[in-house]
Amino acid sequence: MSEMALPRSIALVGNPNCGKTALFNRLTGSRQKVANYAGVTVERKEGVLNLPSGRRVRVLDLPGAYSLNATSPDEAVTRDVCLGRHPDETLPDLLLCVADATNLRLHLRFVLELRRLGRPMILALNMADAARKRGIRIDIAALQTELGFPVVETIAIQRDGAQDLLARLDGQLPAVPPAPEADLDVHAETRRLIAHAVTMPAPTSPRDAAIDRWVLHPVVGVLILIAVMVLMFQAVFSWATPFQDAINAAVGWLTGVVSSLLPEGMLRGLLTDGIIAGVGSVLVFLPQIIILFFFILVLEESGYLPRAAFLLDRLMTSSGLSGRAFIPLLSSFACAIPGIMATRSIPDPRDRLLTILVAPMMTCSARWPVYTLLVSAFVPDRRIGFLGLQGLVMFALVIGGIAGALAVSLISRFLGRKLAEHALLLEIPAWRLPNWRDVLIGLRERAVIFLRRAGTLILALSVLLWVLSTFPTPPADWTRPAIDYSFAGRIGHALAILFSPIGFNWQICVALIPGLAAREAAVAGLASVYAVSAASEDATAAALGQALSTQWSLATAMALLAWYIFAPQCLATIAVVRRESGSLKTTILATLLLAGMAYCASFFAYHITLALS
Amino acid sequence: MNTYHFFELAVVGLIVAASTLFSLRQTMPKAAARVGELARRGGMPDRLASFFFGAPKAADCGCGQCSGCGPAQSSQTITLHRSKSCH
Repeated sequence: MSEMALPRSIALVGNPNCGKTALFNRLTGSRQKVANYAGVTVERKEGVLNLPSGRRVRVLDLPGAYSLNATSPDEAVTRDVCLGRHPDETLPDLLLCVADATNLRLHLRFVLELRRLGRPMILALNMADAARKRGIRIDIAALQTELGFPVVETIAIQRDGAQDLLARLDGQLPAVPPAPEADLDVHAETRRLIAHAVTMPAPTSPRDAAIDRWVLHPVVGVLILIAVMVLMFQAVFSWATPFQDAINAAVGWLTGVVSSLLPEGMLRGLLTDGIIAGVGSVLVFLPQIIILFFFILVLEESGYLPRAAFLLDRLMTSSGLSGRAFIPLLSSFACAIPGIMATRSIPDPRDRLLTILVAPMMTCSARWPVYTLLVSAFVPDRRIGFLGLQGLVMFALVIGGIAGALAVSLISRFLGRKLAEHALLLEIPAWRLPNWRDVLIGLRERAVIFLRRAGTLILALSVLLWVLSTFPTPPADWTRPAIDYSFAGRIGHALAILFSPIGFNWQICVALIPGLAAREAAVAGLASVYAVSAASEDATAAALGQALSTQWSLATAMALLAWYIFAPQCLATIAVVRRESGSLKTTILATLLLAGMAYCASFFAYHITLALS
Repeated sequence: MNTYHFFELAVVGLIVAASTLFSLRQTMPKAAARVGELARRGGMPDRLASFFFGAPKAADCGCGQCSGCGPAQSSQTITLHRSKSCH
């Protein structure tokens, strides 16, 4: 390759959790998800870098890898792109190796391996500020001379933290580094380079070691984990109330305005009973979603989550799940889809399949509106000591999903699935104060996703449900409620035959249908059905909660909660299971498994509650 | 039936039609594409068929990371190999 050439495509490559995606975001202005643990990026991502000279360069963010000897599907993506074997990618002009400056002992090995490829390279020593704070001194000039290609320091989370790198990228392609000896021992070479160019006071930070002594303690650590989770669910309930009241009031006000402006008729019915009732009943849960993700993002940024994975590894492996399943399962708390995709970091196909099967049982954010609606309506707002009962019930529901996942994996283990030999080798990152910019970006993204969903899919489904609940209109000599004559009423009554053994009434059966497109649409569905049935114009979520608490039995509410712990009610999730597993049989198995578990759990919840009450 | 009733009927009809199309495209992109193909064969101009039945830019799966159910990222499917019995 000519030395005078200018790079047109760059691939960011390096060990997991060295800040590749943060640097990618900094260079391209993207907003890809970043977190302080390995395995966040499992697929290549593309962006465009506008260099100071005005040139545009294509930038690829590759999944983290420890070696070119890929052991998992995500590492295979990186290997294939670097070697020019990827079917959809050309060989990048420049490899931008990113290494964590605080952990060069590990990261330099992969850099040395990449040097063997004989491609133009630049090494970005990321987190240079953290290294300096720890007293790590890196002789950049010496390292550059030894490696044979340019080395720059970067701080991906700072606005001007990539200036040196940008200047380098704006120039010509660096020369191809000299080929190392064929039998070079990368471990010995790493040690030599560190001895030559790096001064390190201590391998780990004393502060981190002191915190980890407690956080990773087998007993105290688990207690801390439980306390963190309980605090999170308590906060979700108690902090959100004033904001929810404000949204409820706004929805009520809007309903009043529309009702007073329009004469009674089809259009007013569509706007108040369909759109405002449906979308408003979901919108009201926005504060809770934001508070929940605030906690999740802070935990992600701080570096706590891999430590939690370490604590739970024994529990997970003893139940038959791979320790590597922790991160995918954790991602599933936002949405099962990224969770299922994150299973690409699991090398063993059987482990990966099992994780895909159980990932939808984690409490995704779309379940929150359903849980919160029912918990608020049926669980008294009482305190047990300093803990709220509603928060504790939410915690129990989340634990219910986790217990279900562990039970399935345990059963699969008893059915003869051998445990894979891939033990969990987890890189524990340094503790970090959350980067508030990333937290705010994350919160904004979650809010936008939630609002976009409410304003598009939920709105469309609410309109369709209103049509189904309103037409056909009742005959002249009608005696029953008007909605009974509608399509929705008829469908609901027909489905109720199947669902009555688990305590579901026909209104729930109707709401389950839009819930197939998006779980929280079930809340919008209930709101529309009850708004169409009700004489009152009050279409707020509070009014829906009140209607449910007076018209449903506690047993029915418990049955619906149990249903939602396991229900495979999300077409997008099923589609991703199909895509990732590549097997229709697996997809059907997963759907039937989850549906069967949901039905059984609801059956027991309904009948046990009936017996107890 | 007065003018307001006509107006009401037209607005409700439009909202319902748009919602139906949107829901179809978001939740069943392949089915929507098939309908689009049928519409093209029936004489609907290409541009209109793509507008009404084309694949969504991103489906509303809620995560923002999956490219929706529309154009798939390169999937990495699972291949299970039967373990060979030892003799």
